[in-house]
Amino acid sequence: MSTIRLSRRRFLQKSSQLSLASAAAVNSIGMLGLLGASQSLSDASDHKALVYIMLVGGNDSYNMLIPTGDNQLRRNYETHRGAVALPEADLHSLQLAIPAKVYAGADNATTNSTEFAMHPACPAMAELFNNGELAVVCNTGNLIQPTSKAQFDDGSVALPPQLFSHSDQQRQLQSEPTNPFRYGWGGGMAERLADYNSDNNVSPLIAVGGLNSFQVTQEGLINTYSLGDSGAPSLDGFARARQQILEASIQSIDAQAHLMAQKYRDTFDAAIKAQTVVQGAFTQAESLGVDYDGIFAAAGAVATDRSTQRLKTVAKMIAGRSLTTNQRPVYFLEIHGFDTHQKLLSDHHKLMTELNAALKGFRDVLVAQGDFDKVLTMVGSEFARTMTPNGEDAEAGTDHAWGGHSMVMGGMVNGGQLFGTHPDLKLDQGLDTGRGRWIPTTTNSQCSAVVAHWMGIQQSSLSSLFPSLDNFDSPFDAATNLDFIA
Amino acid sequence: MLKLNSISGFLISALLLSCCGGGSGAGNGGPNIGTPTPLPSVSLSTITQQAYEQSSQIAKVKLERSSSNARLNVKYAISGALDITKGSASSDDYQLTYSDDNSAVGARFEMAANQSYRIIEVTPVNDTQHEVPEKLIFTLTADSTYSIASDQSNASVTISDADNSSANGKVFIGAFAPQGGANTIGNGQLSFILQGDNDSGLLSYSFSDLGTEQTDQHIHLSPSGTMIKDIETMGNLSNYAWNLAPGGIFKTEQEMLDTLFDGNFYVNIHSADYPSGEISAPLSYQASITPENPGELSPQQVDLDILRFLTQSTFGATPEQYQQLRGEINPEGDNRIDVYSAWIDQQIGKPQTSLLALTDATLEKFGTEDITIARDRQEPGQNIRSDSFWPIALYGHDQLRQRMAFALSEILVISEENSDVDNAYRGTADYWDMLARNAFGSYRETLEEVTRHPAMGVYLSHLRNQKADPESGYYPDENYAREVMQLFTFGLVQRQKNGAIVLGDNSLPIATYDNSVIKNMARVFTGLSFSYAKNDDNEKVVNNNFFRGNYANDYQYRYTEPMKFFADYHDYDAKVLFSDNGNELTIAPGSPSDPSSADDELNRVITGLVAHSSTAPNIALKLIQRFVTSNPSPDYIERVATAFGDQGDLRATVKAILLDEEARNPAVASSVTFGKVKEPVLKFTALMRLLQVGSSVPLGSSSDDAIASLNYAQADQFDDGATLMRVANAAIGQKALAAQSVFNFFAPEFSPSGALSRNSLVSPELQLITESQLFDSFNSLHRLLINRFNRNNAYTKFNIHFSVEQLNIGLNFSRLESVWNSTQGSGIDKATAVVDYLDFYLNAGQLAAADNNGTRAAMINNIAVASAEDRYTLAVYAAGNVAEFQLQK
Repeated sequence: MSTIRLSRRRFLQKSSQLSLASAAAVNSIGMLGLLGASQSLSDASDHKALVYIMLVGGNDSYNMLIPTGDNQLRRNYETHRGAVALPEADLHSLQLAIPAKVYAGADNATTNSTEFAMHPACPAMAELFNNGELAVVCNTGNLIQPTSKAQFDDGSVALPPQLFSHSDQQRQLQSEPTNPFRYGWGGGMAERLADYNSDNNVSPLIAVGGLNSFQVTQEGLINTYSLGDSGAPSLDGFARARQQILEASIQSIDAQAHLMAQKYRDTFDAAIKAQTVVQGAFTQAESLGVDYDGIFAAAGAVATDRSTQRLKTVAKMIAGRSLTTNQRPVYFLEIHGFDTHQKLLSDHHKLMTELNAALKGFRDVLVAQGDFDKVLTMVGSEFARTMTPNGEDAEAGTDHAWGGHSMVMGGMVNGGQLFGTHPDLKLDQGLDTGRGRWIPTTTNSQCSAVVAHWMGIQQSSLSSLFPSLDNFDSPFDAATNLDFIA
Repeated sequence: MLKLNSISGFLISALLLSCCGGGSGAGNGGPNIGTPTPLPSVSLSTITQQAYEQSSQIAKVKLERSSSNARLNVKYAISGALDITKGSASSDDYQLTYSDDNSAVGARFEMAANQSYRIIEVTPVNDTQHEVPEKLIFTLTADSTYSIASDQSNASVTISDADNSSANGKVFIGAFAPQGGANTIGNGQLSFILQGDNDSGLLSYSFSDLGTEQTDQHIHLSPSGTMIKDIETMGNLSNYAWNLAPGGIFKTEQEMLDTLFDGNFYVNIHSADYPSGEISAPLSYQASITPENPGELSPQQVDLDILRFLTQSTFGATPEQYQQLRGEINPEGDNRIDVYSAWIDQQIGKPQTSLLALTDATLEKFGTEDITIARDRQEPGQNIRSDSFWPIALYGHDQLRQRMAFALSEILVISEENSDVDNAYRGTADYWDMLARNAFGSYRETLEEVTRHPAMGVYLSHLRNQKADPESGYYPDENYAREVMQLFTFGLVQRQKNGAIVLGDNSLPIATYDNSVIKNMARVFTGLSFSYAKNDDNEKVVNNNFFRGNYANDYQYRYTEPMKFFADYHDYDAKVLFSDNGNELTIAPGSPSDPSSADDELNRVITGLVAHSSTAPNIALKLIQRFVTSNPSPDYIERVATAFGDQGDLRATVKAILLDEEARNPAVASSVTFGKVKEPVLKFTALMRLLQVGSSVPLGSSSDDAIASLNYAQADQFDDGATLMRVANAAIGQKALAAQSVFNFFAPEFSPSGALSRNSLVSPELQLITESQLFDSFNSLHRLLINRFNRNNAYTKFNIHFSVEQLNIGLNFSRLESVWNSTQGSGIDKATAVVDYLDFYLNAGQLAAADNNGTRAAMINNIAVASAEDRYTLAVYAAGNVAEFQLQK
């Protein structure tokens, strides 16, 4: 977090929490001694981290979690997926702890099904599910208010702006289905959890691999800190004269300077301050004796995949958390390539292979570090894809749709269950808005609210973070079937 | 001044007069009175339209007759503006006299014998009132003694207080303060410069420290708070034109003007916490203040404007280009727009450098043709393709064309992040050349070529897109259909020409299309596939196989020719597409037996997409952001959108962007919001051009037999000293044609949290500047300074033509050495000269102009005492990385 840009109000608030804050703020390098001292002011055992993995492009999640068995759901799947349907024999079956709810027409009627399986490339995900460490939240998506097909067709209900536009749906998944975009729910959550995150040298909002909407804050008082895929790079050839000039520039860009120059200064300032913390965290992680490379490799992760590098970086930051006083960090990273307009079967297979290995590797290093109970990993995507393919052969792809499956993983997860309501996969009726673009049966905000509450947001404060939440049944009502955190 | 209620009286009497006259006039078959001499025809015309009270400028109207020398009296009527909101002159605002004898004009125009014409002078009465421009219309009325020329029966003049020279501007200022009981530290300043004729003015203001996000900004009436004008955009304003159009309770411009001078208008800024206004500022008239004259520039301002212009229009200013322009611009700089315009014309005339030709020429030296090199030791073509961007950007003579190609490549995005695009490197190079070829042509043609280009086809997957077959359950791919509307043309919501969002009846933005339009649009782009391929003898042959795959062989014929329609796979049914202002684009059914009907359909759709009323402002904004500023005013957008037109005239557009008053206003030097962050590619090319970057391999022939060269046939299109540049994947944070997605490297609406978003300002380039990327960028510059900014890989190692040392890339510090050596005095003096030199060429003097000189002092002091070995690398490292050098204003 940049100390320079804190408002006076926030600064005073922080100073009272952390008496060393003002001393720390003027000392940009060589912070380790002070940090050790400040650590004692927080309760290190009360640590929770959220890791949000965004599958960018629109994951075809109806080919990730797939109905099986001799039943109508499976038959609907095979009929409508056509050339891109996956044969049941290749799938990894799931043992559901409780039967899943399946949509059965209007008025929230549901039936049950216990027959589901994971994509052929996802054996580890199936295993995590069956071990109770991973759960799926079915058919979530962006909604402003509960929506039926009749309301969708006659336009009598407010719909998320620019449904099926890629960039908009991505932003809305990370925030709220409103236009214009104001803040991401990760960013808004961090502001509301400021009392847990007292560190002045590194932000509680950490992106690995680039900035995102999820971590944009509401009041703009916390900046996202962006790590490279493999952590914070160090500066080469940063000799004394170079350093002096750069530090002079940080000092000289004052409140009268161009606003964009001020932002550049803030980023540079944050980079310098966080460098020490991040390098310290990595050193500490390495000292734990956890074989990061070996564990990810054993899980099948390819060392050069960005997902592997990024999740290793997150795991090490979590392992080295005693270097910061932030007790509610929010991590964000992306895995790209899910916009499978062509070659769904082959390309999605590669993506599922990568995701399966990434989640397995990440789970195993967190267990080795002893952090799996503290870290909630959430996997989402802006939308699922049309049931019907864009072609009739194995090269066919699928198009942008609407509701899709999210996943949660961690020691605190009620694993082995499908939460929310699974669509009936019937075309031109019920939930279908065309080509198998399912109206979500759970809005993203309901799902996110459960996570935000686990992180420490009071139930009464959730609707300030998710303004559309009040339009829906409470995610804490049993009927919404969102009890995915123990 | 004419009061409102008397205008209609004048109009009625004028109408009555003309009716009566018409009824009894000649030419309607009246009684024959003997001699059939034709009646003289009389006419009125305006000689001088404007009268000004302040300068006593007289307006003039000419009365003429066609024949007859007899004395003649001509009836006339006087009326005011037809638009009742406008001002009309009353009889105490002027005097009417004849120019030939200064006699007063009476109830009729009098022409003496032998007078074929008379000039009637309208002399304004210089009162002390503030008046809007007042119209005075003379209308000839009929009489039996003459006829009236039908198209010259009237003439109008306008009486204004003063002309619109800047000295006549009237200044209103105000300071933003909390509105009502708002608990805020929000503050700011406002000015409104009313032009001499009081018809409109320029509103500017800046504010900051709002407690919450801004939601609106308006002009209101005090004390009632009635809203007078909604300012369509958010954030600070710079020279926003306000024409005092009546609003709120007011019906006339004069009422508005009176209220303005009475000090009863105020601007307020609404925020989420204060929906009725958090801060407000009055518009208070300051008679003692005169506005600055923007026309007069100091010689230093002219210099800096030249540097700003070159930074906006090239890949980096050089001393040679600066000298050329400086030599043509006079000391006051008042001919500079003409000089820039001529320079743009020269640039348009330069032969186009070709990425594909340079890639092919380089491949010959690294690639497949040389049988002495094993295939696995040959450089992959995509590496050569991406390296070849650099000599074109750094040394190409056609700088503006290539800047435009770069800008277009950030709108019409394809990316080598997609492996098919990466593999098809000749197609990717051809795509760039296509953009550069169209740089000054029409956007409509550009979009057609983009749509048909196989590199785009493979990137947005409309290549081999088939018509629907609902029986089999498959449908056309919607990828290109969606992005061609959202990103390449009109965008998601309906916009005014100035870029402001149009609100519908429900006060919400009007979506430009819905999913059914996407589905129908997808059907347009069905049936396209490669038009050429390679046969077994490696010859280019016509492709007849719709399903030919993406494989990119060494020749890539399929990727360098436009895609064609295959009738069996195109959907020829009727289509209902998008609407614009009530006009729906529909496509009639085509015919599979007529090969041209699919082409016709595509052409119609492309034309319609570009002609959509929201396309011009949408593309205008994106192009302004690439060349000049992240946050252009609505007027600037509108002027550029107007130049763009409904076909997308890119030559007019680029001139409108670069020559606009907002782009050329030297006052922006002190703005804290104007301009943009330099994107990484442009930051590095500017530094490399100034410091004469190069390897040891000339693009052309080598004068020294011992030095191998590329021997590129078109080397004369490049600067002397141009060299091969194996820049590789230097981690500068950006690489041309390698955006992460079709949404480009950054979003046009990216607004970083903090002061920028609180002021509703965007800064797209800042999306790339993250902590980790900043360090990568610093380290890349460090590598450039130690000559390690290059692609030295296994393929290079085995290359038989060039050694690794020859391919190394380094900067040439001789310009800085020359500055140091030629400066008299102490080390501090010499270091100051070096810093100012870099500041001048790379930064248009922004460092020297900064209020806080701490950075400049630190640079000078450290460079002064640096060793001769470190001196220039230190100077360039600082210039590359300090915050003061990151912006282009």
